[in-house]
Amino acid sequence: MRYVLPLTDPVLSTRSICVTLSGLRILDDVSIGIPKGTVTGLIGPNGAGKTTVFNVISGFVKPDSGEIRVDGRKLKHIHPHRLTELGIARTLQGVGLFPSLTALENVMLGGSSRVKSGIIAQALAMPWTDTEQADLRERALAIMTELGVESDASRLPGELPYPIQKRVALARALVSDPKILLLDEPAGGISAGDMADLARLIMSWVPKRTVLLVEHHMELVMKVCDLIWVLDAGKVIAAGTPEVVRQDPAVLAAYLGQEGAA
Amino acid sequence: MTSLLRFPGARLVSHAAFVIIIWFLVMRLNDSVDPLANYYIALVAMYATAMFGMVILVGLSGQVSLGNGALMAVGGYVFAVTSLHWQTVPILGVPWNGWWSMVFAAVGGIVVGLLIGGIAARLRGPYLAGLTLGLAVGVPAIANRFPELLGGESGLMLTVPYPEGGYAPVEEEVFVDSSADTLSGDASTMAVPSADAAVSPDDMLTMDNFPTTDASAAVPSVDASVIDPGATDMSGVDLSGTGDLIDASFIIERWQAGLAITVACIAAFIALNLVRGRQGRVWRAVRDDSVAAAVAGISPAKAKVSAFAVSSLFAALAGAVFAQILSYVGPGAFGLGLSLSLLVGVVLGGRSSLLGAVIGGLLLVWLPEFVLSLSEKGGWGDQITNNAPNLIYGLLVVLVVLLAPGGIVGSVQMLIAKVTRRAPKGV
Repeated sequence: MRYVLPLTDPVLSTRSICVTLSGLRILDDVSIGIPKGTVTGLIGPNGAGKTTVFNVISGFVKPDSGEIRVDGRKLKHIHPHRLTELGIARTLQGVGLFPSLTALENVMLGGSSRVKSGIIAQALAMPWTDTEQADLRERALAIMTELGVESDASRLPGELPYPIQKRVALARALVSDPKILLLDEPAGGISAGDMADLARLIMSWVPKRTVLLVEHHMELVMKVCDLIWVLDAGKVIAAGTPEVVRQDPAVLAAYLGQEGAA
Repeated sequence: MTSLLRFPGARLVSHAAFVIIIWFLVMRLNDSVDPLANYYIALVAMYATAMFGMVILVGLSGQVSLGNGALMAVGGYVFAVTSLHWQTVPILGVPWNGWWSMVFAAVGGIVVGLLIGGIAARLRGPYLAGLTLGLAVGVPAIANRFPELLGGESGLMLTVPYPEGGYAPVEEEVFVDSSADTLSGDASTMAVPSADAAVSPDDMLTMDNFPTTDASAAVPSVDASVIDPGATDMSGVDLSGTGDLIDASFIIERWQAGLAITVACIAAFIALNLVRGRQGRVWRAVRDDSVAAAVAGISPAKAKVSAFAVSSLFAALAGAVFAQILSYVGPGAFGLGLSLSLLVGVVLGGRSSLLGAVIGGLLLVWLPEFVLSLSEKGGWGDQITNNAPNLIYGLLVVLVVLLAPGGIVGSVQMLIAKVTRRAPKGV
């Protein structure tokens, strides 16, 4: 059974994505849509294929068939490093910060798509490369201030508590000023208090940005999402508002049946 | 490290000022020492140039290279062939001189670096090591395939440079040392005559067969004076081919060292700009986590290729300088031993720091001499003396990798961090 909501012009959508990895069908005819200016959740039990959907959208996994559309336009040849140019940024499961760079340097690199000067200009330290980096630095600091991590700007990730690292990673994704933000388990490993902050933060981005959220914490998902897609074993089994999904028998069987007991 | 100065161009000004001060000081030092010391300074500067590239490639971008000696060969041979065969600059039509050869060597290095980097970016770990090892062994052997152009096994002799930075044109080529009269009049690209004296393939693989360890060993039978620092005193020599009397105070080792220092400083300027700017962060990011780098909008492949191209540029410049120091290029001079010693030097000195490259260069020049002096004191036999530097390199590398992976510079940084109770700066 396939759910396709009557979504008129979603900002991001997948159409009939199929992915097979070493003979295993990871995604089977997955079509989801993310309406503009919403927080959309993508949930499902472990191994359902949520992160694979992210990886297909961001070009790390090439689907066997199907397509990705952004603003109604079909994307061809998706390169992960070109994603920010399309106005899409994503975070990684865990933190994925560069351990040898300071928090500020990490965040600045998130704005790489804004850097126009090439390696020759860099090699000769042309003055405009300084201007470019100074702008980026200012931007990065502004976003770090917004997320309350500006005081950790000169620390290395390894010196920072995990929740702060998660925020720095979030800042790195935000610095490219994305229209669409793909968050892969942003609440993983953080406390209830931090989770409430995170929920406020996510809701403060819409409707300027559109958020697609993969998350295990039902509390957070139910609180912030306008629309939820449910995956199980590589198939879409349900979609709708939090209230609808919560009561869907297929979801209860597939998902809450396993984890809801805990 | 963020500079206190924050105006546009601050990096340009501060790096240029720093490099010019260093250049000035080292040139003063160079002018105040004897020719043998000039020769050592030239070698240190040459190694440092090549190892700036190793710091970028191995330390920052995280790609292992066992083949940068081969990239030096590219620079050395481009330098030699262009300076021997070209009298005017193509298109521009202006007279050729040594600096043009240097420019062409640099361009050749970048082109080869881009080609190899394109392949290398698809390989990782042992496969990359294998590829670059293949380069180290294979590239110098190309000279044997084209004996007409590249001089084959016995290599190419270069003419003695003029102090202005040029080379005597081929037809005026003359060797100045009185003991080298066997070669004097013969023009054209001259091969070192007795190939037996040059290098047997086995010997090529050992480090002691090129002049790092023993200046006179590389091209023994031919014209030791060209490369033996002690023997060459060009004071007042009349370059008979031209009839010009060279300034009596002209010391060729000093001139060669000055050139090596200048090239090293130019390389240091470029390396500083890259390493201490955005590009350095990009390389380290790709080394740390290429998936996260891609997500941040960095192309990991492009970053890896650019690291290869820059390191190849520096290697080619070093190779061209090496060709000038030896007044010779040959397969034996750019063998596997050279490639390995570059890696050894950068690991010992500190692979994440440009200062480590300079310290590595000092070690590569000083260690063999130190071992030699030990062996003279201890009365070791030739067999031991010839192989002891390799043994010591090997032991040092094992010890450094096990005990102090940051090399000398990394260890000092750790120490400072411990004393000041701050975490070490990112490397």
